[in-house]
Formats: sequence, C-alpha cells, structure tokens
Amino acid sequence: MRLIAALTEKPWLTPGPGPSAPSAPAESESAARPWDKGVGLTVFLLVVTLLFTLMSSAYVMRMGGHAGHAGGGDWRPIGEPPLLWLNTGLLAAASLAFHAALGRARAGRPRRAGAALALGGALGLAFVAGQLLLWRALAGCFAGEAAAFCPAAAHGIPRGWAGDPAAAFFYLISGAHGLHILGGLVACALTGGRLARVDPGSLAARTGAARAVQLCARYWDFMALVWLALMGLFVST
Amino acid sequence: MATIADDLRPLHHPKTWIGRYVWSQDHKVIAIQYGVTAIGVGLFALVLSFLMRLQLGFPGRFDFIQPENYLQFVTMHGMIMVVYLLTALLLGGFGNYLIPLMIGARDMVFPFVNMLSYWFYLLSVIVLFAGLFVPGGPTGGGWTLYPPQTITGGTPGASWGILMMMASLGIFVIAFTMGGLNYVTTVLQARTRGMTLMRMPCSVWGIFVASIMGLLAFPALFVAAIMTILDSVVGTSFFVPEIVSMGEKTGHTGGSPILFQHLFWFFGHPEVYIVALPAFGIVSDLISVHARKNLFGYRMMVWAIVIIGGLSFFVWAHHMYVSGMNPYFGFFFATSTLVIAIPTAIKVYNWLLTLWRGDIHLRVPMLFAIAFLFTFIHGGLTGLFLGNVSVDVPLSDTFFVVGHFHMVMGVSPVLVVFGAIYHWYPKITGRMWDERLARLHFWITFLGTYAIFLPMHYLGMLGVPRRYYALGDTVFIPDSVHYANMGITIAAGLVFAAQGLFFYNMIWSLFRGPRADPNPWGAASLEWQTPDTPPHHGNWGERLPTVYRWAYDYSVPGAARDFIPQNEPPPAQNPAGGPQA
Repeated sequence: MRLIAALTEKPWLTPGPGPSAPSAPAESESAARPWDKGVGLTVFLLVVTLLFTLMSSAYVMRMGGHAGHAGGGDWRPIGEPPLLWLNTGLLAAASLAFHAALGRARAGRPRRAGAALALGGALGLAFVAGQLLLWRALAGCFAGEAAAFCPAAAHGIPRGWAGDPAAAFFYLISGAHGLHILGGLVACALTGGRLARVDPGSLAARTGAARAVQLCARYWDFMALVWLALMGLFVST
Repeated sequence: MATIADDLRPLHHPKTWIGRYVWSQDHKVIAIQYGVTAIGVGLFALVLSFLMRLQLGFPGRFDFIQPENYLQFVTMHGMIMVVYLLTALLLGGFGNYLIPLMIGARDMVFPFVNMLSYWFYLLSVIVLFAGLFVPGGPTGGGWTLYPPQTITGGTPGASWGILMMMASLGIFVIAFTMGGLNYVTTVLQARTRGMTLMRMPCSVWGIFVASIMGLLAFPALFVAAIMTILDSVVGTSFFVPEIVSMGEKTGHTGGSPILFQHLFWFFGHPEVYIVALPAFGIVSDLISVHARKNLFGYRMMVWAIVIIGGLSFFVWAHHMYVSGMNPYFGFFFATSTLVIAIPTAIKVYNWLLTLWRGDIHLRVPMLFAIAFLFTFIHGGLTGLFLGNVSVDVPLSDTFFVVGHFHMVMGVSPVLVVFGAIYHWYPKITGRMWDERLARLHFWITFLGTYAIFLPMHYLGMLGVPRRYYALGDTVFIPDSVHYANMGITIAAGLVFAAQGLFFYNMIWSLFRGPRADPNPWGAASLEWQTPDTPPHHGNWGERLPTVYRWAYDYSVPGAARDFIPQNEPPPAQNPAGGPQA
C-alpha cells in the first residue's frame, strides 16, 4: 500500500520538504551501509531466482513435457543415489549453523558467532565435496560402472554424459548452484574475518557484524531453498 | 545541524592520477569510461554497416567483401549496436552519470562494484574483439546466433568465433548485473531528503525500470550462452538435434533449437525496451526543459514506463511467428504485443501535448528530441504490422523488418543519445559545443536516416530478403530495387561522414569550447544545481541538497524566473535554512 501511495503522489501539488526518503543516518565504517547491502542482496537474489527458473524451464522443455516442444525422445531420467539426500541434509545443517551464528552475533557474542559461522562454512564445503562425489558417480555410469545414479538405459552407451540430456542438465544446474555456494562461502569467510576483528566493546561494530551475518544467513537460506526446488525437479522427473 | 539526509560517510578520495581516472570509483568517471568505450565500439559497428551498404549498393565491386565477411559484418554490427553500444551507453554511461546527480546522492551505493562493472564490460569488449582474430574469424550466424546453424560447419566462425561471442556476452551479463544492482539499489536507497519516487525526473525512472528489466532478462542470455558453448565444445545436445553436416553425423541427438529461441528472445525482447525506456525518460526531460513547460501527464508517463517494462516480458515469442509455433501461442503473443501500443501511445501523446503551446526553444538537444518523435512514431506504426501474425508471415525476414527495427530501436535511441550528449555536455565538461556544427550534424543525420530506412520498407514489401549477400537475377526483384539500394548506400555514406562533424565538435569543444554556464538551459532538475561545473567528487560539497518540488516547475505563474529548481524552498519557508529535521 505504501508503494501505491508513493506512486500515486501528485508531485506538482505539493512543494515542500515532503516525506523523507529512506536515506538513513550516517555509518562511517563502510562505504555501503548494511541496509543498502540488504536491498542489494534482495535484488541479486531476484536475479539468481531468474537464472535457476530459466534453467529449470529449459530442463522441462528439453524433456519434452512442454506442448509443442517435444524433445528428441532421448530423455532417460537419472536415478536418486542416497548421497543426494545426504548432501541436501548437509546444506540444511549449514543453514541452521548460520542461524545459530546470527543468534549469537545478535546477542553480542562475536567470537562464538564466528565459531558457528565456521561450522556453517565447513558444512557448506562438505556439501560441495558431496556434489563432486555425485558428479563422479554420474561420470562412472558412463564409464560402464553400475551405480544407483545411472540413467536406466545408460549402461554401455559409449557417447558419455554429454550424449545424455538428463545428465548434462544435472551437471549444468548443480554446477551453477555449486558455484553460487562457493561464492557464498567467500562472503562467509569475509564475514568470519570481520567477526574475529570486531571489538566486543563497541556496540556499532557488533551490530554491523551482526547485520553482515544476517545477510550471510539470508543468502544461505535462499540457496538451500533453491536446492530443494532443484531436488524436487530432479527427483520428480 | 546535521540531518539524516546529510551523508557523513567519508568519501574515499583518490590521491593519484591512476586512482582518479583509471581505477576510479567515482560514478562520473566510470560513466565517462563506459560512454567512451561504448561509443568507440559503436564507431566500429558503424564502419561495418557502411561496408554492408557498399556491398548491397554496388554488389561485386568490392573484392574484399566476400559472402562470409558480409555475414560476419551483419552479426557483429547487430550485436555491438544493441548490446555493447546502446545498452552500455544508456545504462552504464547515462545511468551512471545521471542517477546520483539527479536523485541528490554523492555516488552509487556500491562504488567498488560499480568500478568492477566497467572493467568487466571492458573485458567483454576485448574478448569480443579478440574474436576477430581467431581461426575462422568472428561468427556470422546473425545477431540472434541461432543454433544449430551457428555451431555447424559452413557458417563463418562456427568453431571459434561463436565461442568468443558467447564468452563475451557471458562476461557482459556479469558486468551488467553488477552495474544494474547498483542502479536499482541507489535509486531505492540513496535519494536525498524530499526526493520522493514521484519527484524523480523521467530519465531516472526510465533508467531505473530498464535496469530492473536488464537484471531479469540478461540471465536468459547467460543461460543460452553457456548451453551453446557446451553444445559446441563438449558435445551436449541442449539445442542441437540430430543432424548430418557435410555428409557426416555430428553426434548430437534430440536437442531443441526452439528452446534456444525462447531463451534468446526472453532476453531479446525486453532488451528492446532496456534500450528504449532510458531513451523515453531522457526525451521526456529534453522536451520539457526546452519547451519550458511541465511534462504533460507526469504520473501517466511514469506508470507507462512501468507497465511497458512489465508487459515486455510477455511478448517475446512474436519474434518466432515463423519458427513453428502453436497458433494459440501466436494469438496470445500478438495480443500482448499490440497491448503494449496503449502505454506507448500514452507516452507519445503526452510528449506531443507537452510541446503543445509550449515556449519551444529549437536548440540542438530539442531538435534531436523532436526527431526522435518522428522516427519513433514511424517505427512504432510499422510495429503494428509486424505484431500481427498474418501480416508478419509474408514480411518476416525481409527488409521491412530491417527498416522497422532500425527506426524504432536503432535510430530512435541513437537520436536521443545525441540529444542527451548535446544537452548534458556543458555539465559534464564545463564547455559548450559549436552550435553551427551541431545543427549541420543534426540535419544530415535526421534527413539521412529517412533516406536510408524509408526505402527499406518498400524493398521489404517487394519481398527483398534480409541478410543476403547479393540478390542476383531474381524474377520478383525489379531494377528499382537496385537503384534504391544504390541510393540508400549513398545516403548512408553521407550520414556516416556527418558523424565526423559530431566527433570533431565534441573533441574540439572539450579544449577550445567557450566556458559553459552551470545551467545553460535553465533546467529545474537537480543535476544542474551542483555547486561546481563539472561536479567534483562527492557532487554536492558540504551538504546534500534538499528537494522541495518535482523536476518540472517550468513557467510557473507568478514565479520570478521561468523555472524553479528542485532544491528551491517554497516561498513560505525560510529561504536560507530550509526546514528543520
């Protein structure tokens, strides 16, 4: 409603100072103020949403499930190895660790928040390692090994994963997601460094650090949700 | 007393020449870096277009233009003009320069990311140009880059050129995302006190909405680029079906070329408006300033920008009427396409009504703004033809389409860019350009535009196909087509040469032009009220301005001057101090 009120203002009628724009008190420590970063992150997450939505749409269209765009009839669904579920669990656990870090940072305990953040980062790294194992397992299918992951008819197909559209999409989409997780890990490491340097006596420094942890947690929750949606896509097709 | 609008953050002032002009985080320097790079690249694409015209006007006379060169010229010209010139110049150039100044901010919200955005853009340009020198040359698949054609033998640049193009586009998308995040966040967060959303000039609105659209549309190009690279290098079959090339199977199976077209146009159509909306915004401001009259229907203008931006995500498949689409989809996309005519027509009528009984000063920026109205209305009307499926089918892939899109999204935004450069040049450089040269440049460019693109509609009606190297002896093509082609080429040569006047004027005036008044046009918007011309780093000196009114208070009855700056308090207030927080 505030947006509608803002967009229906009649600016020619009301010369005067007007309601204040959302520019907020000065924050001297960083070039960008944390709430600017929050807005920036929200906009960025919108872009990421689009990216994965488009890749998922391409996936569905290539499957042949989309009217008028029947694929080549060469779609063989990939299996669901237990590792897939384990990785999902790791990602969710990382998200919980980031929330623990946020709670401690807000409570004014930057050191303990840093420890929880480190745990979250480690779980994130474990997720990436697990994804790499998945990739290897999938590659193994095309080298002739039988595994839970292998597409139903893939055994003995010499063309390799590139000739298998479901496998190619799995690499593409999970790879893009993994890169976003790695990017998040860099941000998390920077935040961890900031927590380690924070002066526990300074309220401004503590709240600033807590805001940074909050952005990390938000990003992580978002990427976990994206992964859940992608899992749903992989498992249901 | 410091109010909340006084931004007390210490600005990072660079100390060295390199810090100030090369690795600069100042939005104005980055804007000029973006602008100069984009115009330089655009100049290259202009040369390519003239080479194409030489071939079309005088086929066979120029040995150095072989069929594959011609296709490469077509491709590079289109891609550079749309992406590397217009998008980069209007958003990276004007967006960077105008947003902070027009909304009363000291800089973008994330200056470092802003700097990175430019350097990634430059990298994408370097990769693009490196593509000229790889084995096989640049890609010649047309700017739409449809697979399987672009990555199959026989198309110029099918092995290396297409990879360089796709890599360059991928880097460009990353650069744009960094810039776009800045533009959107800055508009949302860094407006000075009193600068409500509806007090922003239309230029900022156009750039703001176009930035959001770019953030949402460019991921589609990014995905398409990566998948094409994988199809080409690794041999996946996202887009490429089972085909036999040169008597041999390529090894691909089952890919969907239509899938690429959907991804490409989900980017490609919003891209048209990413270029058009900033131009709409800027032209609104030029017309209002130089007609000394408030913008007619300001709220409608803003809403129309937002509605056009939203609708443009639901029309992409009107580029695919002949690709083999379910007729019901064609009906849907034709309807949504034609619906866009409503907000667009609102804008056109409001521009005309702003001119109506205005105190029109026909200065050079105004000439370009009025010229834009001509070319845009012209291109918009031919768009109504092409938006209808049944009319589009016979006109598809003919010169009618070439005439249409050059009028509506080629020439129109370029005219606005010229107008905008002439308009803001005194603020950017502190110097004034030469009036006579500028007028000469305008008239040759404007009339030449019609001489070039109007006959193309006629050629298209006759069925002359686009992207053909030579027409040869074809029954349905009369001699008049060849004469028309010759005439177009001569006109193109004149317009091409006339751009020399522009560059000479700009560069000469930079050093020898007379010192400009800080506000030579008597404009009310905030960027003309800076304490210094050109503005210094930080833009506003000690205190940020406070905004008391909208940007269009021209010829207000009873006012002392024929404009009231946005930061001038209303008479009832204490004129010196402004209101207390």
